[in-house]
Amino acid sequence: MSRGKNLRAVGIAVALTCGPLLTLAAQVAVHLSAGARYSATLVHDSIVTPLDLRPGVGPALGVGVALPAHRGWSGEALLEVSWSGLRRHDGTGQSEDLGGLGALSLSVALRRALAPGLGVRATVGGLRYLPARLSGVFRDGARDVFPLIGVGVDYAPGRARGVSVEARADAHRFLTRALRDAGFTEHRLVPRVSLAVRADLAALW
Amino acid sequence: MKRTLLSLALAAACADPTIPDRQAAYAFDDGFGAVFRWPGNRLPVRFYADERGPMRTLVAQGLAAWEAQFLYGEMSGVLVTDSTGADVIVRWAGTVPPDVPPDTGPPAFTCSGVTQIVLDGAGMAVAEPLRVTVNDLGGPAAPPQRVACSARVVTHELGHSLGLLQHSGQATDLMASQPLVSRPTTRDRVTAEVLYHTTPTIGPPPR
Repeated sequence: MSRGKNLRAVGIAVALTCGPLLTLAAQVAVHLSAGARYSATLVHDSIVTPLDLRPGVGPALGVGVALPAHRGWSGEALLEVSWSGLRRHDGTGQSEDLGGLGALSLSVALRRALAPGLGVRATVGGLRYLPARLSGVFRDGARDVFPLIGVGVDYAPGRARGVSVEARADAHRFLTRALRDAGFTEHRLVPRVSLAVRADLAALW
Repeated sequence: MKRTLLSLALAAACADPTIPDRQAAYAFDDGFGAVFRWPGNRLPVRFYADERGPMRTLVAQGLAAWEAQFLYGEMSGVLVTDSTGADVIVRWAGTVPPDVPPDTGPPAFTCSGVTQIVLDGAGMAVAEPLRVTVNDLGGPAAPPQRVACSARVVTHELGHSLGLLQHSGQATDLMASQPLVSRPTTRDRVTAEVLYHTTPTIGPPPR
């Protein structure tokens, strides 16, 4: 390919790449969400008696950007953080506080509008834990990013413009280096569910 | 066929991971069935270390090595600067090796250690703080070898102070009677894990 054709090809590529982005930049909607999230057991073990390592229910906050809907479909990017206490639940009925555990996730979603005010979404992304203490199962750090998949449904009542209620469920596979060192060889599937109120910033303004 | 495949896929996705087999590698009772360990409401265990020579560093390292063996917060310790109120007191007996980095070569046996646990009259609880004594034998060994020996023995004795009241029969374990290594092995770890999920019969010392 000649130098002139090369330049033309690059020019077309740039135009294709930047054109829609420049147009969409002015159209994205930003939203905030606040709610609560429950996470299932991270580790099930048995040392003399069975025990579970489980975060409790905790607050979850999120921020997202959504592209305009096209034929009922829209794309979104979501950044969420949740925080809860991590506890060891022994088979004897006792439980022990092991400090706080945060979870940070970044995901992209595809939303489908089913009816006015009602939509469903599927998400994929990554999740990273933010333990308050680098000890126990997180003693070697918490740098792992766990693949995350999820589904959700949101509903905006007719009178609440820009405000919707969102229920989500997601799951990731959990295993750390400390658990590997202790003899665990397989990841554990960890489901999480959340309920949040979501507000469109444009509506707030 | 599709339903079977779907069932298999769901079962594979939701099945619990296999739990590692854990059985104490060696006995941890006192030889007569009595079990001692620090209960959850006494954590973190307070350790006081002799301020002379490298003892404070050695206790901190030994404690960190033991804490790292536990996955679920069963044991934790803290170094305190005042022996009053300490749960475990670690001191030198006799000479004190210089504070130099430990030798990393083959182990030289230039020290010994002992952990003293005094029970109350009924034998149901520890009566006073546990006392760990490390005896640096000096001799012709180079200072780094003496410190390396002390490091092994301190971590070994801390294992006793946590409740591992017997020695491992395996010479390569930290809790062997004459430790060759400076960190707990897998067998030491599993034994300590089982100990900290076993109901103790001896209570901790009063605070």
